Amino acid sequence: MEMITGYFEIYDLTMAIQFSLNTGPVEKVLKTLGVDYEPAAQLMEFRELLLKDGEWSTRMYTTFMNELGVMAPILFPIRQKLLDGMIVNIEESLNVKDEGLELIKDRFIQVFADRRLRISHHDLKKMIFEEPERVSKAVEVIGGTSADTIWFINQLLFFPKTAMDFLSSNTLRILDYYERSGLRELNMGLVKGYIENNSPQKVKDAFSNFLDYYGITLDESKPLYITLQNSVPHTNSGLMTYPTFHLLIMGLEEVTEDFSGRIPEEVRLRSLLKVLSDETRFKILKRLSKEPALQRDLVEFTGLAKSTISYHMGLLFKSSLIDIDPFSSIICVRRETISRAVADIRNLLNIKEKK
Amino acid sequence: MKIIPGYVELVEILMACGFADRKSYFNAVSHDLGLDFEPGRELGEFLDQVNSSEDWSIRMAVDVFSEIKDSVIFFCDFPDEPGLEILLEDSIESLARNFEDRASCVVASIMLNNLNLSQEDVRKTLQGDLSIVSDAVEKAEDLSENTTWFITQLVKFPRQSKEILLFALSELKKYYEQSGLRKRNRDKVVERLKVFKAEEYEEVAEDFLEFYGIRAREDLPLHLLFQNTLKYSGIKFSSVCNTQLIVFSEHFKQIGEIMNPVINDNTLRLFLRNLSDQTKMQILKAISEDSKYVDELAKLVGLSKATISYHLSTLAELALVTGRKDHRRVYFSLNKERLEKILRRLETLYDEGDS
Repeated sequence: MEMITGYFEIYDLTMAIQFSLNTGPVEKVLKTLGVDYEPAAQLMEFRELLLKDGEWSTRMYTTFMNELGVMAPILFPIRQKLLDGMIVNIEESLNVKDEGLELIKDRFIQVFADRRLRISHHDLKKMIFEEPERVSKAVEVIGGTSADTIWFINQLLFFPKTAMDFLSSNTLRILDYYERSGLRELNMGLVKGYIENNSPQKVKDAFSNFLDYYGITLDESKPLYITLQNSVPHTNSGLMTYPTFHLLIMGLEEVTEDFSGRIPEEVRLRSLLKVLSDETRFKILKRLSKEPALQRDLVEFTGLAKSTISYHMGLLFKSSLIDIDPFSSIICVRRETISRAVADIRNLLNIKEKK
Repeated sequence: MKIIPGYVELVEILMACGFADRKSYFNAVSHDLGLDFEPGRELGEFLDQVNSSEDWSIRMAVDVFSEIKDSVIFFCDFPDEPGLEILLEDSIESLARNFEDRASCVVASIMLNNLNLSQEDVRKTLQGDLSIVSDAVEKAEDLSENTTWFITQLVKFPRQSKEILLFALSELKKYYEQSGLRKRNRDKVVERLKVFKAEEYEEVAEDFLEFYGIRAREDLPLHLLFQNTLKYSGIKFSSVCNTQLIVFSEHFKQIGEIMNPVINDNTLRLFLRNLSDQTKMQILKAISEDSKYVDELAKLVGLSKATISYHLSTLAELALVTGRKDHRRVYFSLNKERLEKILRRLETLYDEGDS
């Protein structure tokens, strides 16, 4: 399989935004998993600047970046022919020409039609021209998105130029926070230093340990991009599969520490069992085994706060017990993780399966 | 085997003392077994009185009762017919009359059940060879000084031991009454005896023996004593002097849940929780091929014998391990049949809807 590693600075910024909006749950997940994590002073500074900004446009921007975070690779597509060790900074990602704009709109429509609206993208294109009202209605009933995000999707579908302008100008403003807080310098310095002094093979090895840990098998016909991030160095985006490629945004310390070696079966099993044996998560998994659901449904089902559910989802996701469709946010259980755990327990305790 | 369910009030005091001394132990076990045990107001009051007592004989009695309750219980006499009860006053009076006989049974039980000595050792000791007990007591690391002192006294100076014990009991009886614990327990027992059906208890006892793999003697009656003080089974099985008994809690529901041949969600979750504990997993792994005794496990895992014993006791409650006595040692092994049952339940967890 073609595997390319590099640094797309814009994704590092996306991770910083996601952390800022979900600080509690993210920190709690890492703590529960026993990761010794202290957010960098620069990240906390960035968070403060971002949250202090009361502008409506910032709020909208951060909201949809948070909710549609995984769509970022489509909004800021990888255009260059990628090579190992390539570094693409935010300014380059924002420099979108007219033809690029068409491409972005097209890709967005494709993914959006297929994964969210579950219609063919030809139909969606036709609808945008012929029955814009219907499209807006369809966007509105999508689960798990806020009014701000719905607004942005509408802009992107009907006024792509305005939408991209909005996106760029807001990204630039947030880039200012990113710079002022010192987070940009910190991240760029560390990631660049790492890439310059280490062979890309190290990242690939970490990735194969990652696959082993989560028990994931990949469709090898598509290329895989692994881009590093250092905003929240012990976390990753989860593996995202797009129509033409796979993408994983991986924390720098995951490469240098967490996944630098193969994780012993016992350690993985133990943390999985810990995640699984919690009463709330156990209930959530049973609920999900009946049918996939959105985070919103689970809030209703358990009566717990959104941030609490988001913490549980984080843990379940990190333990590979659930899959979250990056495009539709639909959550479903990963049965193979349980089968594997059972096999591991049998193996560990010398129990032969009786047929 | 004839099963004789009955009630001996003195047993409640043994249970209450056990809790006084090993509160944290009970809390830990309750946590591992998913029992939320809250000592009621009366038990709390009883504990306060015990703990504020200046009398050394009370302190000594509490240590002894909690550490070797499966042996000191043979100071009691037991009902001959199902559904009968023996009041505290009667127990104390009969103990005063037959102290020497009872004391020799208690000594025998301590040697067999607590110090893991042989029948031959018991015979020699009761004939006046006191060296065996003295040696064994010195080596028994998990017994407190008060308890080893008491054992030695009981062997060497039975008459003085009698006076000390009877005094302590009369004091504890006062606390038991003043705290309201007696009335509370009595009210429940009166209720219970009104609707008493021997067959129900016979069934429970048989399930219990089978579940925990206890081999009771068929030619002797089995005393099934219920207690209300702790929401937790009291003494799994103890036997000496042709008497065999089980003490269990009136709140049998949760243990019953664990014993249920159909593994329910809660039991499954408890299993997962216990397995996610590093020490417990190490123990299970260590005994998965050959059975091992506590000393061996302590060395292997690198923890104290007391810690290993504690973990083994929880695992035994969940019937994940079984103990087998061989000469002077108890060998623990993995209950693979039960594990297989639980694993099969785990595998199908996601395949079904509600249950």
